[in-house]
Amino acid sequence: MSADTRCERCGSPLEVHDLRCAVCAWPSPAQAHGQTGVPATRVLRCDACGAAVEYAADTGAPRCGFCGAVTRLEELVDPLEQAESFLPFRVDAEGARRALSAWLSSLGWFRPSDLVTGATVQLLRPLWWVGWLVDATVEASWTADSDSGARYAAWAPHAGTCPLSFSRMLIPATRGLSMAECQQLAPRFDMALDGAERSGPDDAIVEQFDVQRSGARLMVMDIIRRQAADIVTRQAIPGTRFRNLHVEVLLQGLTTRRVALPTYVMAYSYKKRQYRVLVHGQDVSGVFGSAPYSLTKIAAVAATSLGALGVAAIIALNSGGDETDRQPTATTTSNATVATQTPDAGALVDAGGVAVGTAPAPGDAGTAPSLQWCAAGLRRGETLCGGSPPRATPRTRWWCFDGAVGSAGTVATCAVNARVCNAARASTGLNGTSACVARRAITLPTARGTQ
Amino acid sequence: MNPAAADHTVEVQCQTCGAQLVIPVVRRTARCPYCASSTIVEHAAGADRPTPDFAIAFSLTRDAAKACVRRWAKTQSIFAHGGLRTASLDEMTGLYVPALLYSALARTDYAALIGERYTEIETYWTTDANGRAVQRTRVVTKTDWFPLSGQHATYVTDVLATAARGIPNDELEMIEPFDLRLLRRYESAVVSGWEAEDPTLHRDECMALARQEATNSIARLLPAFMPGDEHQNLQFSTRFERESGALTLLPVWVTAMRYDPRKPPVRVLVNGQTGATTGQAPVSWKRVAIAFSVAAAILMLIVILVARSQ
Repeated sequence: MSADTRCERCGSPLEVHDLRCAVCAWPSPAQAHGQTGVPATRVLRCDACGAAVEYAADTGAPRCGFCGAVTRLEELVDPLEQAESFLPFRVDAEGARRALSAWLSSLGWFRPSDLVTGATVQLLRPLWWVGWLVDATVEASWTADSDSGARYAAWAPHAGTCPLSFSRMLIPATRGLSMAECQQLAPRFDMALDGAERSGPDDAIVEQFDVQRSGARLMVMDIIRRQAADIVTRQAIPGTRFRNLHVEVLLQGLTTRRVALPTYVMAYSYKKRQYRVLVHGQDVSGVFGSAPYSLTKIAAVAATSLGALGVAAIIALNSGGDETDRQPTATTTSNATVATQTPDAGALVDAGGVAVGTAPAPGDAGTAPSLQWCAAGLRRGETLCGGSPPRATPRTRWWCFDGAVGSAGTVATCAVNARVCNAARASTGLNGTSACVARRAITLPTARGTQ
Repeated sequence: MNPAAADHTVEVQCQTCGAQLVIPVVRRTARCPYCASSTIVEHAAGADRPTPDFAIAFSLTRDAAKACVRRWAKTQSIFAHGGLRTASLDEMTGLYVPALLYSALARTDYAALIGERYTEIETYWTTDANGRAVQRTRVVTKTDWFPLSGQHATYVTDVLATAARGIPNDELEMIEPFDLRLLRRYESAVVSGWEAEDPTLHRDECMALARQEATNSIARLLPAFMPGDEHQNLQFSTRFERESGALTLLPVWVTAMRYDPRKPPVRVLVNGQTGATTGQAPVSWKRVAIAFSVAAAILMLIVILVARSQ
């Protein structure tokens, strides 16, 4: 079978010796067998003694029952394959050294100051690492639950199909480089330059594929399936969340080319320790690897940061006080109560200590976003005061009362403790119709806003 | 693949001793009764007698196959005939069974109701310990049903359907799977010395069997493809496109176990590659009667004891 024979079902090329298409199992064309005319008989003869031989299950081949000679059959072909295209080196060894120096000097302030001068190159090895360059079209059918279209439950089912196309997708087959390193190097290769001729340093070595053809095909198809599922996840499923994703992938026209990709593997030493670096064989800006940090600089920054934090904490402690010591002044309006003094320089904090709003200036109620005290935990239509206190923590507990117990109204006043609240209540003449309860403070969009 | 009539015979000449051999026309191999030479019969290839495309060679020896049958006989139920364990296995034949290795592109349209579960807090009235009606709440799980329809496309591969009238497809399925990685192109050297048959089922019959098997595989696959927490009313229709069927010879050890001289033997099949064994174990009605009697006696004893105790 010629090398360009293609599967009649999925269009993928069939290799020589393929019995069936690796993608869809289409049987490859068989050789002409048999004869025409009357039945003929044939005896399989032993090459050694001429006796009739029979296939033996224990040897997996025909064996002569008289002399024991075994006739070898054609072996099933599953070879270790070699790279068929080589991308040329465009960076020479000296360029790789310069790229390393440039990279070391660009790593930032936390690296040792003498890293460039103190680093000594120990190893510089040009290498062609191997991978598969894959073209394929995929018809993906999928189902999933997503939050789009959900009604009572949090999920709604969705299904769809989408055509995908993979062109010149590089799948690493190397064992020498990690997957992360390959992913960093891959985008910088100019795949249009591949050819059968090797163009690069004389001492460049070519990595071998160490996966047999059948295993390689399974690996490639598995990666394409996962890539297709990933694209479906990102592009096809509506909504913002999903679960129960099922993707069925129909591969067509899967073409793989075994390519060798140029890279310099380098090792440099700095203060008796070795570090590994990869320099891209075609792009000097592609340098990836490890480098030491300066512990002295890191310790200095950490000490400075800790000192600054300590100073800030001391200032905060000195400026803050016991809640019960502070006496906020409140101005009561007809519809809302606007605090004119806030506990921490105008910043309100929730239970976790996070600022949730800023107190407006007096007189801003009704125009600017303002504060509504003591309303947290209430829903629309609930009374602001007079009921059971909602969750409140000591840090954010404020006391308040409304115009009449049980009515859905506004807060009459707020106070930092029960004593102040009761005093305010008595002064407004609402002593008999209201009660002071603990609430949290929240911010409402406007002075007239409700929960 | 037109079926060759099994009762037709053909006359061939032994290439070793010259004897004239009369063999069934469906046989691809013969053994000369005079000189014991194995002969491969090469029929004219054609639409009515296709040459096999592939074959899987035997890898299980006769002794290993016998051990599989013995193991199978021991693991049958206690009601199986006791003669199975002592039956002779002398008549054990290694047979290349013709089968159709089918594959296709399967496009399926499906529709189902998909259930998404959610919980609600439900208020209900009950009676407390003092007999008063009280209102309580509980969490109940409910299901929101959505209609869903869609398409599913996949390749169906490695479907084997029998092409031998003597071995039904469900019997062949019992000793599947075969390791198709060891599939090889058919050559006469593989079948030399073994019995090999031509198809005795028409190709259309084989394709219909294969399609049914492929449809069953889609039916097994689709429930796992459905989203949601549960589904119901799953309906589907599958179109098979670009089908292929390759005639393949499968290695099967066949034996007829004569467990009782007064009764017909039981056929047992052993996968010549993996050793998977199947057969219809005969029931010993004597054993069933004894078991029934013992059970009845125990039951009666219990009844008597209970009656006396009262």
